[in-house]
Amino acid sequence: MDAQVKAKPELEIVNEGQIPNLLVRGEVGAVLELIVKDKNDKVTDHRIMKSRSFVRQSLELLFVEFNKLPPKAALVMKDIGGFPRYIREGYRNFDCAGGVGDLARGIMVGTGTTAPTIDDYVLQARIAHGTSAGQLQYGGVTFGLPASDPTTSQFTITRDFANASGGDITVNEIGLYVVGWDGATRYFMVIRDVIAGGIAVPNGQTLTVNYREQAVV
Amino acid sequence: MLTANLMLERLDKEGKLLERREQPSRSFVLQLMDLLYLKHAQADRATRDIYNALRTVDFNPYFGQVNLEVASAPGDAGCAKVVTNVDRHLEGQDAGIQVGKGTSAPTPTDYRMADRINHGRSGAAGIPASFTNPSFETGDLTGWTSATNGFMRVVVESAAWGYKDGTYYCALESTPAAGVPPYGAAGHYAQISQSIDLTNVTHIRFQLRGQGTWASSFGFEVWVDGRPVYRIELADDTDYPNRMVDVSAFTGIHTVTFKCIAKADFYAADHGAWIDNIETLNIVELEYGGCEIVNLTFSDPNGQFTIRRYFTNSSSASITVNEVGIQAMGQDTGSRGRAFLIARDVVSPGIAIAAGEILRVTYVPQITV
Repeated sequence: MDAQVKAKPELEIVNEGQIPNLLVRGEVGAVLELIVKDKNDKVTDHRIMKSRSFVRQSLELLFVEFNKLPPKAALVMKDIGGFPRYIREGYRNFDCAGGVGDLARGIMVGTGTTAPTIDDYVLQARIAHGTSAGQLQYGGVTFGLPASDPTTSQFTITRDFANASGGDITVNEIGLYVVGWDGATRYFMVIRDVIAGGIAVPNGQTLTVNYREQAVV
Repeated sequence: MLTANLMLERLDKEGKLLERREQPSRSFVLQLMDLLYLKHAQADRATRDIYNALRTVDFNPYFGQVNLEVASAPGDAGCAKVVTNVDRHLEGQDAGIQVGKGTSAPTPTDYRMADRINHGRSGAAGIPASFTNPSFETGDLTGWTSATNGFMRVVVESAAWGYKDGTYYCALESTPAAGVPPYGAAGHYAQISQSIDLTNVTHIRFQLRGQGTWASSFGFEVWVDGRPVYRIELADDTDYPNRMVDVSAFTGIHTVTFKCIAKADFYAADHGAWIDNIETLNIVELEYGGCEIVNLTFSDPNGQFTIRRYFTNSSSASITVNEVGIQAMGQDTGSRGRAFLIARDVVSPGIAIAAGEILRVTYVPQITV
């Protein structure tokens, strides 16, 4: 079933500790929060939804890490270029700490609308970094420290996307790209979510994307 | 979204399936988030190990990339990635699937199994016999036989110390001596003994103290008949709570001796070992096989792999497993391997594994798009 977007006409910022728990007991997943702000920092759109689409590479990389596969037993994974890579143990695996304008690591946004499948390895139509038409300025990826309440433990991955393109841009898909190690850094998509109806980022406004990775007991 | 199925299968020694349980795993805990955070953010992260110590896990460990490793060797076998230095050594049983007897409901902040069953073969079918006068609460040595050599004595006393149980304890210590110092020499000892049926006793536990500023001149030993089964070098004015001695190899009636023996000259009276609360225990253990992670498969919209471990009951007791969990390894910034609980589930009702039977525990993490 496609992710359902709960558009909220009342605009408010929800603190991390007050984020509704959208996962059920036993689930390890992500809550996806989207916030659009104008240049005065006023929130113009705010949505919270359950991320539904851990794709193949997420489980493959977990398999590599749980097993600590050595080079001679590396696992073949398809990178964001569609190339097979022999991924093995490495401290960089799962690295998504991309800096400003980094289009290889971290949260990515795109305009693609096709429903996710488990074999997706790249966003359908990633939006480029920049200020030209159809482009968004990618901020650096930041992280909220892990924390827990009586039922849930979580940490947050955040990235801002500023629209200085001169026109409105609608984001329809969001993904998370991480590093996999084959002796060099390779890049893999581990999450892809499609936003039903998309979320508009008017010119001059900024989209903040929070992936809150959670485990619910 | 990732979920996991948990399967417990009880097998006879030939591998024939006797019982099968399947339930959703519900309980991935905070340490999993900590280790995933560390890898995502490429930043060190302080997280709680299975001994309740906050460890700063190194996101880029120098000796092997053990962070998040769940696959592991059997039982006491060393884990290959961390044996380059003894300080980094973890046993196979420290990582991978775990079992225990605890029944408390899981919470996100669980950092260890509530009552973990250790790797091993001990466990008796019956109730263990107890020592007579185990805490010396008669105020004397009723039930015990004492012996000394040189300038040593055995005396029941009532001074306060950290781990004393009740009013009295037994002091195995130096005695004032006439003559020219030193007052005592290597080989001088004081001991107490008692005969007891060890048939259903797997371990003896006691509270111990190295008493006085000459305590480091002494060692403390436990003997079963003529065989030493335990020794510790005492330090000055130091408590040693919950000392454990494995006596699972013994059945029938044996003489157990607790002995304080000098290893060097000593120059003062009332120094040596204090002992109290000598308990007999029947601790059950299961033999941990290796933890394997296999069978990575995908069929749109699903993907899954299998985490599996066998537990063999080589004891004489029936052992009931009430909780199951997963521990992952991590390496701290001091280059030491540590174990972290990442999942814990309660199995209700518990599953009883009879002597000679095998428990197969399988976690199947799954994603669905």
